[in-house]
Amino acid sequence: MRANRVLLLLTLSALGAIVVLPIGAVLLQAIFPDLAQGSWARPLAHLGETLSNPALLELIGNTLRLGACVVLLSALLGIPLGCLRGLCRVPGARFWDLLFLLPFMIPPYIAALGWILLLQPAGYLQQLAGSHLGGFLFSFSGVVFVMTLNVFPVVYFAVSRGMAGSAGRLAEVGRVFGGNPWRCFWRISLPLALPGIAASLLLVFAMAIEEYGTPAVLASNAGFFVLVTGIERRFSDWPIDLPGASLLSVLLVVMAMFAFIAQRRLTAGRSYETLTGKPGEQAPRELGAWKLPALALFAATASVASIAPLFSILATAFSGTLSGGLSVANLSTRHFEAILTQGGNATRALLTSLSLGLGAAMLTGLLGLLVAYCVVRLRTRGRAIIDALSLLPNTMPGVVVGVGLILAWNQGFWPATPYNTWVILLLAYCCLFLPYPVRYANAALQQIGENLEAAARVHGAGMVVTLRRILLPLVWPSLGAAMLLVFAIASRELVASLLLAPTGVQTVSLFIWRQFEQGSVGQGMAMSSVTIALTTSVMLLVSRKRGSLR
Amino acid sequence: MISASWESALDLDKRGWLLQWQSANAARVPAAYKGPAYVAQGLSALAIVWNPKSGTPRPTDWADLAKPEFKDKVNMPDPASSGTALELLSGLQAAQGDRAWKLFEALKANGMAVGGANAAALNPVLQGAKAAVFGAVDYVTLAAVAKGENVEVIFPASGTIVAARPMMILKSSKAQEDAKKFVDYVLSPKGQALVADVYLMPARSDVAAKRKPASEIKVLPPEGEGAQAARKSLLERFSALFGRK
Repeated sequence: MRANRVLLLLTLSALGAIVVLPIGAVLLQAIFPDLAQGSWARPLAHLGETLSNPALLELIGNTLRLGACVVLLSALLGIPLGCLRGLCRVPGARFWDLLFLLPFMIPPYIAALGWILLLQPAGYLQQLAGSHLGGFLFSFSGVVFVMTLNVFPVVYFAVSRGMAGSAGRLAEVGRVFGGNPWRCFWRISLPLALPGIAASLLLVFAMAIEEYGTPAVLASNAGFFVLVTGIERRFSDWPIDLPGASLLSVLLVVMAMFAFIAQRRLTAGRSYETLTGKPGEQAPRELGAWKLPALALFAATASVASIAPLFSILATAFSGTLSGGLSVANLSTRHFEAILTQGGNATRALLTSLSLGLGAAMLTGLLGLLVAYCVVRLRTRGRAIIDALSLLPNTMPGVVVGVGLILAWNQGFWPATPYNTWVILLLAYCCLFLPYPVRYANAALQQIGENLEAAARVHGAGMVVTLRRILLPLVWPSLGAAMLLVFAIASRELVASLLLAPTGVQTVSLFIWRQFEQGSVGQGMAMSSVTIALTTSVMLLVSRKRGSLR
Repeated sequence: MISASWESALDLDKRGWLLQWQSANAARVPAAYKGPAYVAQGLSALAIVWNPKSGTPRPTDWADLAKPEFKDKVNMPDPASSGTALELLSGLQAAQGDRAWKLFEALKANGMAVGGANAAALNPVLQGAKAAVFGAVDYVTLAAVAKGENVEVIFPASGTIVAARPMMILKSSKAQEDAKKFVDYVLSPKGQALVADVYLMPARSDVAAKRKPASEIKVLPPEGEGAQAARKSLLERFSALFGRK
């Protein structure tokens, strides 16, 4: 049990450094408006002014509406596709997985720009098909549409893994006992996959209410604003309202906490232990007559969610000029040449981002496993705190974590500070993306029967050996997937990087952002294409390697 | 430090944060573009950027963009995120008073979209989704035109603002000698030629610009005292008019 206590302390202090510090700084700033000037005076003096602003209710309402709509649509899209993929033999399954991975590989700010170039008046759609969807795109519906396509793969992969893992196998048992396929699905597979589905939908909700780029770019002119855009505006637009922004951030955190509690209620008091050491060979079901409709569904979703934005990005990257439009004469590789010849800037940025992404993936993977173990296995009072702390970053938009880290580390009293070095970027990424490994490892651990560990203990294995030889290999498929996710997302993170990158350190996202800022969309899109291709192949390589090990 | 906003130099100097030093090479920079602790690196002007393929008549002044032909076809960078757009707003109000607000109301009624920084306002015009930008930074667009983009930079007949980009050295800098050498270099004929290469107007009057020089652009009259202080309320009025939250 002493080992357990050490583990608990270790986990808590890591969470303290990575999560509590920046969030605490924001919280203190929200309470003490003059904190940035080093004064503890007038606590909550700005509360009335910020809360009495009539725009606030609208911001909250819009945020909830957006989150709910994106969750609903992601569920409608992700659950059926995930079930089909997990339970049935879908032709070209790995190919569809790859295509649905693509939206993850395309950073949201680039995807939004891609959709604009595609659908706005005189965009690529109009150039090809003669009509545009500008009115739809630049509205609430447009924001929901684009964001759903960006995030629904979270649900798809969670559902398909859950179904393929344990849920499907037990459904086979149901079939053996004479249940018809539908009954087995509704009564066995679906309920068993519920924690995974709920967790993924929670993730989608959090992603939706904290996403900045998409609503800002698409709907601000339609008069649609959410909490995050309100925070960003108070943080970065003159005149800067640090206390107001911090207060709105706290509100956003509270909202996501409610979602978290709801998910807890939903899955509480049930046991999901399905991995009990008994071997199971599971044959995916044949689709039969449903093969074609299923394939059509996959193809339609993939072409809208993945191919369309990718086409727009590539078309822009290979166009000599934007005003030249889609024509053979306008075809050019000059944006790619420009990237290669800019004194190695682009390659350096790429290396920086990949290393930071790798570092963040390893650190969050380790910490995520520790957190999940503490939460699922240790029956101490600290577990609820640990669980809540590890989920908190989900509710903090990048801009908040960035400012929190500045507020926390840009202080005279630290003997040494990561501020103004690349370490602060790593800290930011670890904080922002910790929830992914935690959620995935949590869900995986919940499915592992405790008697496996007990068996190891009986055979004389200590806790470390049990962790390494029993739990880690069993959790690894889920944890590894989450770490890949972290790698992919961290290596393209924009908002916190914008705030925190020290002079001379340039990440891929900053490189692309500066290209967009300078008006060279083509070069920005060329760099985006390179990044997307690179991260996608890394993910493919890793997953192939993992496949061959099994 | 180089900033795109002249104001930031004035503000930092007022706080006493800037090193009081003037490069010897600043001698040929006009007096309007230097101070005791800061000097312009180059100048840019705000302009109308117009896409000739948009099917709209060529605009010649700001007010043209409020005409029915430009309904829903105009973009403007957000003054809250673009310092130069705020200076234009302030300059127009100083020069035209209430007429400037009538213009903005007419533009709003005509469906002008406000958002983002300069590139965000410009890109839709390049592709043709919008016909014109109200108040685009000229050198960015001129660079795009030089690369073959089919748009035109038009300096409005009633005048625009010329924004100087100040260079300054912070007193707290640990590399002041290197910083001085850098400023000297930027203000040397060689450095100013590099400034001209990105289609900015060089700060030195004796280095030729590669585009329309400041002397041929009609400039709005300088603002009076107190205009600086009024910016916050100006921005609030503008944000309210265009429904920003």
